[in-house]
Amino acid sequence: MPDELVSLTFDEHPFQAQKGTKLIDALDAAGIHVPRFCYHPRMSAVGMCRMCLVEVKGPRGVSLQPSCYIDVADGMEVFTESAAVKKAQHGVLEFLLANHPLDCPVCDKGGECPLQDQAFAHGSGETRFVEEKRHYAKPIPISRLIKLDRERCIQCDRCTRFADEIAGEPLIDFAGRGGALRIATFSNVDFDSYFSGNVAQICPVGALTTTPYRFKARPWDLVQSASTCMECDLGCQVSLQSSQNELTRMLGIDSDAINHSWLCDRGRFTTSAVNNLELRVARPRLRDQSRSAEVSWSKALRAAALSIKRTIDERGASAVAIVSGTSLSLETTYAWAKLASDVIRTNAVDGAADLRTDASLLLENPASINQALSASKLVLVNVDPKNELPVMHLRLRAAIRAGLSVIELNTTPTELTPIVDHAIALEPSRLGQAVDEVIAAIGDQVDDVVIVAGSRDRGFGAALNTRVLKDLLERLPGAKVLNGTPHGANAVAVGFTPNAPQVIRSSGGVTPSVSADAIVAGALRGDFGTLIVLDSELTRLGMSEADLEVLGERVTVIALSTFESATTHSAAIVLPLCAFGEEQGSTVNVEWRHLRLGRQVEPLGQARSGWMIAAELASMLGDELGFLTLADVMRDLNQSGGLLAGLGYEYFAESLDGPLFPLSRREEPCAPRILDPMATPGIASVDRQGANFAAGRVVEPTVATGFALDPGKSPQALVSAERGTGDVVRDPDPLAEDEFWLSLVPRLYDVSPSLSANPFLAAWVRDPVLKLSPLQGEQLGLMDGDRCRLIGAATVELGVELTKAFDLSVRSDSRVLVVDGLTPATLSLLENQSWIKVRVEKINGE
Amino acid sequence: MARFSDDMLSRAKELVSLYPDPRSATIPLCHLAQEQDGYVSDEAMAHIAELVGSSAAEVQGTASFYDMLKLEPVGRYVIGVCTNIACMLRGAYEVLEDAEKVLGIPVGGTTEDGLFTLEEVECIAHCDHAPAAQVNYRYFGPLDDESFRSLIARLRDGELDDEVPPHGTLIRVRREAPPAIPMTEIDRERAGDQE
Ligand code: SF4
Ligand code: FES
Ligand code: FES
Repeated sequence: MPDELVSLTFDEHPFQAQKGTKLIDALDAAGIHVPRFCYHPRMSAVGMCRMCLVEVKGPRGVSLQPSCYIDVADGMEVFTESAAVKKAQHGVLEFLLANHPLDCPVCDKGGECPLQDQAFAHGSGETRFVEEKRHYAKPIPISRLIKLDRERCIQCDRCTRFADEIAGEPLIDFAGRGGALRIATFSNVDFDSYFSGNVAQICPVGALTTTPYRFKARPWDLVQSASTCMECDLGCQVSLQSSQNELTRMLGIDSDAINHSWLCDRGRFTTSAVNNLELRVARPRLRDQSRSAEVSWSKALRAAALSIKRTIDERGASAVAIVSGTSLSLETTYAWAKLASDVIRTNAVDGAADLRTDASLLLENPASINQALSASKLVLVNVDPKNELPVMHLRLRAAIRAGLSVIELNTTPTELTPIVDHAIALEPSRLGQAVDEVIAAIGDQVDDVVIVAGSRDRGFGAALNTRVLKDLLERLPGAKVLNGTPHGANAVAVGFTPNAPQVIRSSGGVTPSVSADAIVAGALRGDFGTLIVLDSELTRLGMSEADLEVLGERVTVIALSTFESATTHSAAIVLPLCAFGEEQGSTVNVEWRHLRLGRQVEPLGQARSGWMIAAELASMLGDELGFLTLADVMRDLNQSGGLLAGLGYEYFAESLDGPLFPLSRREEPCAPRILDPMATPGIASVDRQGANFAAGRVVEPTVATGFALDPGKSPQALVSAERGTGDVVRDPDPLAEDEFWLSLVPRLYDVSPSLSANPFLAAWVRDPVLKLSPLQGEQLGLMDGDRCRLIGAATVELGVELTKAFDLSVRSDSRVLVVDGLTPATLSLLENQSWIKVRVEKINGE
Repeated sequence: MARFSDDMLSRAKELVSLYPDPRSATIPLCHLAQEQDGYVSDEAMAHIAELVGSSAAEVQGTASFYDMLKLEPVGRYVIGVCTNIACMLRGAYEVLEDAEKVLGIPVGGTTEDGLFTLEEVECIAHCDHAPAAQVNYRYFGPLDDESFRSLIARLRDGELDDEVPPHGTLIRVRREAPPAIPMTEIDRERAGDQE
């Protein structure tokens, strides 16, 4: 049935359309644009605004019908230009404008406003409304990020539909009726959502605006380029916009493969962190005793090279360690991988600190995001999409609504738990049983199973993650795997982590074999002479601030960093890195898709790209990486013969979404699609100012030739060596009566340098809490708001939060205690071990 | 004012259980809240949201749609004076003006003692007794300034207590719900019908 075609006429021209298509979509495909406000291609149709009325001839004659709300039918005759249609459009617009304040000159949306545009195109140009319009206080904040101007609202239901249907957080809704209908939050409950920025993007008027962008720029002053959000590795496609060399905002692009135009607030508002000059590292610094002084690049690089050289000479190359836990660009990651393996020749290298699983399992039979969402069964393993890959949470919710069957295997319930088919508890004492339960839940639908494998729970080490994934794959030989760890995809792709299979590494250099955890622990013991930290915060990797001081006495720390952090404050050498939006390049996401990074503004101060720094260090160490331009890095990667063989920038010209790697996974090329200007208003309007959006301002003259595609090449070479996953799996000793297993899970707004530097998001960072189901609370004698002491590898004081949602999903005999939020303190509970036993004590405060 | 009292809560739960989808009980529960407090308070809406599994904003959205659900405190007696055409022709505006004077409040206001709220309403289908008014949705009319004053006096003295219960009251005699007929029985009956 899917390809059943119906024949119909649009304005007397015959057309064919797929059965089940909305009339408005069929009209779009035929190149006929009907005006609209409420329809959004990624949300259900509601027929609220009546702007899309067209005349349809049916058995009962010709009548006006909303084209967004009816499906195409055989023999339909549709008229979009008739006098009746024109009159209807005039009428609808007149009504919409009756109460609209027409304050366009002071409205942020002016210049990219669908209401403005369509009033020009389809309105009557004159108003007959002389009465008093409705008045409200304006604008009112409905959250720290969003402001609402109710006078401008045209009641299209887009924002409320987004909140309810897409985000599943109906914290805004219509209130009142008729002329008094307005958007409202509930008394003192803010629109606190990870996804709140999307409503400002899709509001077709200036009723919802984001606080960071308010009065920042006029759309016609903005320039933009296509880029990819780097806050996690999902790879959401964005339009990065700037004005006068300052990033102004980011909008989501409707990428079929990835984000369907949505973004999370953490990503959307990163521009505010980039613009926070006070917390940016702008110039190289050297620390002498306790004083740190700004120096020239050459002096800083010489000092760095000297430190590396001295360490190599005195203690051997493996006394130089390199760690990273964030997402660096692919080029930077590769340059550092090459520097480490070919020039420094150290094995103490881990560029994917967060990835705690054997990455070869992720690469053997990789799934794309869309394949995962259309699988017969999707298994989520140790991953919390909402807090780790936020937009994946939205895509999953939509897919589940459309019938996707999901089995969740987690230590701690997630927000998806209530809507998945099976939620299975992962506990150390029942690993095998948990895997059995997954297999039972899959039943005989074993074809087309996809596993999303993450490393969410920090109490769950690499060995455990690997074992669970391996067990599952053994029982489900055909299953595909999607990487579910939010950072580290680039490092895996170029073999810049001990968890990655060796064969991906390009050159015959030294292979990494010491994990980030081991590097951090070793550094504290003084095992290394030089520790290079790539845009990461050591306190996020398990060090305390006190540790940092000790560290400084034993090891020379070289920090390459965009933002100031505890690490940069204590490092001996600090090198400023370009921020997001300040450098060109590319990245790969969780599905190993190659995506562009656009450059919109000049780097701050003397900041440089990470790959340049690697190249310069190499030559100071008496070697050459051979990288003078980005194209050089790309050429090297292209010929590396690993996962990224065949890589090149030229694919970006072909389509909005880059290619999947290995290239044998190439998808059907999809026809270029015009972005619906109503779904992505800000993008299309800036585009009209002449920016070449489709190609982005990605990379200078495209790369040299000779990048033969090798689509036949299969990824069979990517076999793993069994190593790098750290500790071995032992069966855990049984718990004593008052002991529990610790589950330590991250939140989207866990403190990090880029978050602390973000004036609009920093306030969202909350203290970590011990999260209990009311039942557990009863058993432990703890109530909501109590404080307790948790005793594991260290002792930590925490607030207690009782969560009703846990009651349904936490097994009543569960022996797991959940700590929500990663901080240096909560990480110290673990001390880099798996499955820590903890005891809990109530603090009897006054 | 408050969340549901224990007694109200058990009635609320009863109501929720009547529907296959708990959300369907939203409006009945709003009535219940109004019965308890005379209006639907924020706390009650938050409580309703918990009971039916939606967000408080959604409950507020539903409740604010209906004029007869009050989201602000109102008097014990809500007086609606009709000013639609039939009543208007028979002097409704005079009655309304007089009412404002007698009660000392403008339309929309509530007297300080919390006894009366005055509203102007559209046709309440009591045109045959125009000009008409309703007190807590009980009809009175035809009114003139004198009869209006005496109506107020009688309400104040409690003479009409039997006739006009406090605002929000749903029912004054609660009946036991009849025992639920098991679905299987209904199905059997239906099957029988068909034969
Ligand atoms: S605020 Fe904007 S998106 Fe929401 S209903 Fe009004 S016009 Fe539509
Ligand atoms: S009614 Fe069709 S777009 Fe609003
Ligand atoms: S006009 Fe007043 S009751 Fe009908």
